[in-house]
Amino acid sequence: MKMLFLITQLIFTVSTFAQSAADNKPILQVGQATLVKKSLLAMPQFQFFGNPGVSTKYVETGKTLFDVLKNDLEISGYFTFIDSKAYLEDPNKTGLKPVTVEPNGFNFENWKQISADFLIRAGYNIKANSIDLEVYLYHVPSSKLLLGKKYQGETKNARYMAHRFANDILLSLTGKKGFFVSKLAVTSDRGGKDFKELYVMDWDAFEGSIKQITNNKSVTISPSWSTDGKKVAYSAMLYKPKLKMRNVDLLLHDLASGSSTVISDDPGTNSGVNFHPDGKSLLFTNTRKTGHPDIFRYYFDNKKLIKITAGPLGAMNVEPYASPDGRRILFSSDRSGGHPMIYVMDINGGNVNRLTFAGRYNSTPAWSPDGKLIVFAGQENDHFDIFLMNADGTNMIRLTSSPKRGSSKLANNEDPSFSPDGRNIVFRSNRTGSYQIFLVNLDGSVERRLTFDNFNYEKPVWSPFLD
Amino acid sequence: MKLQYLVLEDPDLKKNLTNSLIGHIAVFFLFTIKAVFFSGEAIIINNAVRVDLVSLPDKVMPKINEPAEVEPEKVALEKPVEKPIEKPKTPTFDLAKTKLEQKEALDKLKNQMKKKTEPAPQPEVPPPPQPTLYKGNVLSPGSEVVGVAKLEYDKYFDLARAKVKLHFILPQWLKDSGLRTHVLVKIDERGYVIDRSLVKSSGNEIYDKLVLKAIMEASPLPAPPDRLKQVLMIDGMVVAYPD
Repeated sequence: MKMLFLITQLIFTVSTFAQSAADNKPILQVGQATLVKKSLLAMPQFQFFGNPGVSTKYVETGKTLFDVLKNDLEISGYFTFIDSKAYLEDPNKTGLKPVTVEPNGFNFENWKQISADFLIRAGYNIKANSIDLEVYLYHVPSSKLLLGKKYQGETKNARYMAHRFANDILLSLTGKKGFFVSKLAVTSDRGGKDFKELYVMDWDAFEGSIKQITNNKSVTISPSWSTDGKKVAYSAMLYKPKLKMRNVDLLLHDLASGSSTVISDDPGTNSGVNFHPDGKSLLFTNTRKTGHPDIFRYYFDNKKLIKITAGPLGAMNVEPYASPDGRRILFSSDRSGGHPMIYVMDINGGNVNRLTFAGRYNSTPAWSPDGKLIVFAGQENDHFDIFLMNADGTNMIRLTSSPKRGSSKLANNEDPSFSPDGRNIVFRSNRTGSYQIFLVNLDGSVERRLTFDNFNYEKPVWSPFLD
Repeated sequence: MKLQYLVLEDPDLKKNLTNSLIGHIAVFFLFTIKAVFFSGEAIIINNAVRVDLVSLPDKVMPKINEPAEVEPEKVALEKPVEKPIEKPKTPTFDLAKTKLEQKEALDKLKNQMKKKTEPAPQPEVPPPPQPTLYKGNVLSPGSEVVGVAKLEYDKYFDLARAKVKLHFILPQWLKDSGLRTHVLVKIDERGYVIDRSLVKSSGNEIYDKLVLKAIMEASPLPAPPDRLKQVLMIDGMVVAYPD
């Protein structure tokens, strides 16, 4: 016992001296890296393990798996894909594992020679309507396996499987989940020019994933996802037989049952809805109670409506957006007497602070999922662009600026919404003519078009994580 | 004077004045009660802020190092160019004359050295009193760096930081990782890295290796000032990524 005590004392003393010795040394703080680069990724075509004579759709399925994964990883902005012509070994003649693990495996040296940072090897098999997908992610410079997984699912869910793998890759590299298994809610005139209905689609707007949600034969606006991703609230101009006129009502749609229920049908406007993170209430703009647009909070349990904004008299207070911690609300208002600007206030309506002072018309503010950033649409001359700033209004940057096709004017870029991982922003733009859905990363270096048709889309809103 | 007299003599004046006063007080109280207990919508008055119409910022494209896509290695079959062989020229000189010039130059140099090493005549100054050394009266120079030394140190570490940072290129996927690594680096008097070791790992092997690689690529660092040479060679410095 005495010996153990002495040893412990000795270890403590040595470690203390070592620590103090290190403490006395000069420290050179390098600071945050200012230079960043994309990593070189080698991703050969996926191997088919089955019998080509038996499986009829194996080529199509393999292409889907490969293309979806490649698209997801390109969007991440982390990788540059190595041209397959540069490969020094034929991936079809080597296994998915290194030669040190299996006799016919690949050789890391062949990938090191072409400077690959990462190597993805994958193979699949199809049995009846089921896919078995086997995937590996290797870090080439250290010759180490970073991720190895097997996925199984129906062939119709091939895209979903590839999205899941992309999510797992990002999680293994960054420790943060990717957004690839998430959806967009958006209103569109896809069903006819006279109406705008609510639609839900995969985040990449794959045509086969677009699903019409409402059929109100009306104008539907400003959708918002519930915190669990199972419901979507929205506003629609519904006909009131008693009043013989249309009114902007607030509704809640259950995606599983397909039914919509009315939340507020006060005469006037009930719009600009946003779910509070508690999942038990939502915020929206109502005009009846005060005669001018003000922000209210609606509680699902007791159906109470609480007024949040209070004056100045006659001011417009719209587009509420609750912070991720549920304590604050972003909104736009013309209370400064001039143009609409972005404001923030406490959840009970107190402590109002103006955040933007630049531009002529700032609207549709939204928090990043971590609550550190705010995105909004700002108008300066004759067009809107997407802007990003810190939560206190500092460090504002412009993310978009694009000419309108066939015109000398600049295009409108509006209705921004953060991805659930906070790495990207979806918005709509008329740069190609009609209003299409686009994506931009947080420094504006990568913009990508998601929809490729001639319909018009409005207010795309990103869902929370759905996996 | 006549008019004033008439007004003061009016019998109803006092009564009317009293009624007027009561009426005004009543109205004042009514408004006060309304303002205090039946206030309307609060008008929020914030501190006045001077707001000039300012422009929204322009779009600025960030700089990202895009690695060049790797192409298959091609071996160029170029015909080697033969380098013409230079023939050494045979010097022609007078040996006796050269030796004489050499001797003169050496003598001149010796004279100069003699002059330099000779101490200049100095007036006799008594030596400064030396403190008597006994236990406990030796003052340690301490670790705090002040004055000119501090300026010198700061300048050196700024230069070293700039050099190290130039070689610290982070993959995009590690940019927001929040990882921290400390490396003990020892450099020789010319600035060459002679030793490096992890004193605090980030927990991510790839990040740690990138940091160690960046330090080696940054070698040689700027040559340290005299005061720092021994410290940086024997004790070393802790290079903290990012802080």
